[in-house]
Amino acid sequence: MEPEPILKLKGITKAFPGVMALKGVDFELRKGEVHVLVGANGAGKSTLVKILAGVYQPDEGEISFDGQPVSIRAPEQALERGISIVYQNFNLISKMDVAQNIFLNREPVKGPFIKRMDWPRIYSDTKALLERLHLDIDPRTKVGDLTVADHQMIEIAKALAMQSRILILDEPTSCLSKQETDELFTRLSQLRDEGVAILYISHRLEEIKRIGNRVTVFRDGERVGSEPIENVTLEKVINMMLGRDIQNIYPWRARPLGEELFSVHGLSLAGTFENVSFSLRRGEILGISGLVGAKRTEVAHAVFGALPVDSGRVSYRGKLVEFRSPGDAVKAGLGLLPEDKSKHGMFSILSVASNITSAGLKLLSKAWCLNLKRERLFAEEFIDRLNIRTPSSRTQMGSLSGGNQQKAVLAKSLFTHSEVLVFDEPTKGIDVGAKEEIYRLMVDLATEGKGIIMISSEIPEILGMSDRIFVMKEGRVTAQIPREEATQEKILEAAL
Amino acid sequence: MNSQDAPAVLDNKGGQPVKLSLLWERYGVFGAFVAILAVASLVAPNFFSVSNFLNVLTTMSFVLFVTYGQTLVILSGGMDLSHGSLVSLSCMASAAVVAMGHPWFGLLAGLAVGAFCGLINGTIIGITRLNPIITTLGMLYIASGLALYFTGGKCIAGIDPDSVQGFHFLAEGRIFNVPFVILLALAFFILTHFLLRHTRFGNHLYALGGNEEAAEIAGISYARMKILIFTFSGLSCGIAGSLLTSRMLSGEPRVGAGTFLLESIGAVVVGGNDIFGGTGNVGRTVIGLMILHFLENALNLMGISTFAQQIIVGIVVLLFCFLGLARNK
Repeated sequence: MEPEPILKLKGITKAFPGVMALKGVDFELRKGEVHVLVGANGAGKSTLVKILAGVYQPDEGEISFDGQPVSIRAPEQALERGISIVYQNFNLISKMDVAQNIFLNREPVKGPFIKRMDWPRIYSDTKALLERLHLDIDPRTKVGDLTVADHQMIEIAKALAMQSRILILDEPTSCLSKQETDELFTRLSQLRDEGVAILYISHRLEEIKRIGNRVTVFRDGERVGSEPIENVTLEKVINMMLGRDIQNIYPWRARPLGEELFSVHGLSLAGTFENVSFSLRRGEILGISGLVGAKRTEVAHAVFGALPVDSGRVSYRGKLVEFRSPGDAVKAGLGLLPEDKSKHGMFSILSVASNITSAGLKLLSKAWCLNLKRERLFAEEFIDRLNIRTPSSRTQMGSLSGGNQQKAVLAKSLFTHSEVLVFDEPTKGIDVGAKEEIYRLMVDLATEGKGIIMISSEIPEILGMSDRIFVMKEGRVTAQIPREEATQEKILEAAL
Repeated sequence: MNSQDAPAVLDNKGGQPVKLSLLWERYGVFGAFVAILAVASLVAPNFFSVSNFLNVLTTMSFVLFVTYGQTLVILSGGMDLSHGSLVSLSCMASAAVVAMGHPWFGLLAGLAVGAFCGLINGTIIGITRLNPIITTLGMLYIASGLALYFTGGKCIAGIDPDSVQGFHFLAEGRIFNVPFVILLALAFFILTHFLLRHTRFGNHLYALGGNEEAAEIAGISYARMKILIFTFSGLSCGIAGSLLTSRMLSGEPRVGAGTFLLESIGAVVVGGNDIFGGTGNVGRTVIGLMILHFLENALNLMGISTFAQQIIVGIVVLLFCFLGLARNK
């Protein structure tokens, strides 16, 4: 017996500047099934979710709900149709308490004339809900005071509290403990048996068999295929996800390594990370892996003097150094390519040329005056060298595609003659072609003798690019693996 | 209304051990206010008396209405700079109608003009998503220009107190020796508190101030909320404007230009509300404004020049901002 689809997507296409996120995707979700959606980062899973949520509008294609064509123009329309979503990045209000968050915009009211908030019911219902999920959290706790895992469970509780017909979960277990994951799966099975359609997004392959009834694989914005769970094996799913031999896109090659360039000993910051040590040699690419929340970015920021540390030593070119601000670090010869480019890495309204030279204005100036001709010449040299595709050096940074922005941010660090380059999620949100170019640049730079630290949540990228791999978990280094011995399993084991 | 069930704000419950920092967070501002009263009673002559207190509270009441509006705006993550001008414009509008011999329509005219300007602010901000500070800065100029343009900058005077007795009572009357305007301010305080704590509107307002994106994803309409909030804010200026007409029995085009805007933002900040929105309450604002007014009053009574007073008040505002910052860490 085939249960009827509650949700049907046909030919959904969505483009963002520089990236085709979805290319004519068809998709079906049935009542009473857990449909697992898998795909590598950038495969278009999150875009699909945001379209169903009414956050994005598709450029082309149609959505039908219960057999009726619909358009979902705003989040409230999605909610009205009974679509509730647990996002990967949380949408909780940290200044409000747990109960207020769970009942946001669905607050029960009482009173004959003036409808006033039924606070006792909000708190007692929340308490009951949390107990059902075996969560030991006071409904009155401010969300901002809770851990990331608690945030995840509250997001889930919030979605469960709604009488949803479709429940979408985007990577819900990425920061849950095993026990919490079990609890979640029990609840999801119950909901499925009650007839709720569940779309479960994950890249944890081991979860697919446990919870899924059907699997759909996305790759580079396209649906590769859908299969009932009985017909799939993990190998099959991995092949569908990757599509081609994984090694091909990584231009890694063996290089001679030079002397120690940079090292960190016992870096600690209470409540954030503890006793982090690593060293980097000339010509080396050091990959730092771990789950979201492993505090890798914080370590990078601390090394750069953007976060204060409680203890720890940093040495650079054999000398002990102390960077009090990112400015000190840049002056000494470090370059950071931050994860959130648009927030920490670039000035989107300035020109490409101004961006490239922004960290080294001294190199352009004489008697406190900038030489704009030199700015242009320098910029053009880098545009050429890194193959940054831009109409001109005067083009606004914000109008470039993600991959070219990333290259311009890299140019900024090269302009100041950085010897140590820290890439934080270097290929996040950029398409495959641009990724390959970034990888090639990294290998070229390492070959020139620079030291590269690459923080990445994408395990294939870590495996494909690193000479050595560090794995972090909850602020500690849990494994150090040389390239030859590294496997996906070993990394995951240390990260979970 | 059972405020016991509202989210914990100034009250502690749950039986958890009370930490000193928590105590400071919840009662610090109130403690500071009591301390100022105590010190002022000792050093300022004639400070500690019922009549002086009533005087201060009466003067303060006119500003209070405006601060209620500002509290809503700031808690929702915005700021309303048009306050002073809206008070002036509402005052002129109500005085013009009162002078024609329609005191109650005059009251309504003041309220309507304030609310209408607020509605325009809210519509622009809500629908075009223009920055609230820029939008209300524009409104500041427009309203203050209109208030002057009306009469060519002249006051509207010559309202006969005997012909508008009921209207005059609003601002100048007393019930059991308590100025009526204080009671009005108290009533409006209860209404504002109720809106914030006990309605879905209030809860959505905190959500919007806490995390705009999350609030919208929960289905809360940004446009609708901004329109309601800024209309309320404009209405609060309209009330202040009309009451000023009732008090002075004249319309003055510059009446709001001085302290109204500064005190409306100042009271919210001094009271310890989060300037970026999301946390706080209107009770804090009232305490904030009381601190400002009682401090000024005490300095006055001590014979300190108004210029020096401003310097001291400025330092106090900074001090409270600093303490507020420490609180949020």
